[in-house]
Amino acid sequence: FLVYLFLIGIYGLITSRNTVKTLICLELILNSNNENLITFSDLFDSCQLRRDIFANFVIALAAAEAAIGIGWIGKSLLIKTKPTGC
Amino acid sequence: MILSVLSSPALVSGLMVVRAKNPVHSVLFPILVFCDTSGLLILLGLDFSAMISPVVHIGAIAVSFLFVVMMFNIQIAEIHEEVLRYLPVSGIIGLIFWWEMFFILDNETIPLLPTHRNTTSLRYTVYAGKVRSWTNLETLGNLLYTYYSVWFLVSSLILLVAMIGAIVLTMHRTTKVKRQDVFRRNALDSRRNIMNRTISPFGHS
Repeated sequence: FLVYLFLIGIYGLITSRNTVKTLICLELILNSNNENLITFSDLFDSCQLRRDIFANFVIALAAAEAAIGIGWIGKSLLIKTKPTGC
Repeated sequence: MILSVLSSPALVSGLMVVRAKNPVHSVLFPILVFCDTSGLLILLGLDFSAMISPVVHIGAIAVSFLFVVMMFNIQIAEIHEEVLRYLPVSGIIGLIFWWEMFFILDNETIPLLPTHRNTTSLRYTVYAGKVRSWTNLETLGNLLYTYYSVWFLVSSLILLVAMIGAIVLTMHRTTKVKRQDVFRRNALDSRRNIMNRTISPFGHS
């Protein structure tokens, strides 16, 4: 399931011709699938729960880049609507 | 495995994010996706990640996306685009991806028994040989604060940089204008420069 969500995320990321906002939204789907694949990969031989901790860092990274991305996109959209500086 | 079929709305809502014409719908459907991924994580036995990821993803990221959608006037997408024109090339690329995923997915057809080694619960024998049963949160904390503490602090630095970057990106122009006004306004002598022009009931000009 998670692999298919990942592929849907990539597909939507490439073909998001509507707005810039949906581009970031699908990037988030891609991040959620990434961390799901990390936590799901305990089938491989790796000791001591390393992937869980790495998944937490991926969550933190996703939140950080979402914040920066939204700030950037929001500013560009704001300039489109209100050109006069307030 | 039967219960994780309940999480197949994640796939449907993922598709709907791509195909939704209203931009508000394309923000609401990832909320469903995040809920379903948290359900999947609960089924896998990772209770900590299943509780943390809705808090982060839904509570912070989806809410900020809602802010972006609600505040800015984003036009509803064009409907008339010929989707079917893209289908031969994109279908070939999609099939290549799908075929490649089966190389990784070979282990996943094994039933659920290997996934139970992630949590150290009372019933299963743990690989590390601990007899006492730890919760998932305890095992994560045991590793995160002792062996990977430097990574933890680095991730906090990353979040700090993200916060400063978001503020710098958005407030770059307006505070600069405000700061010049304050300094100049303090340098003005109010009686000489302002009160001369306006007929004000306050000071005598």
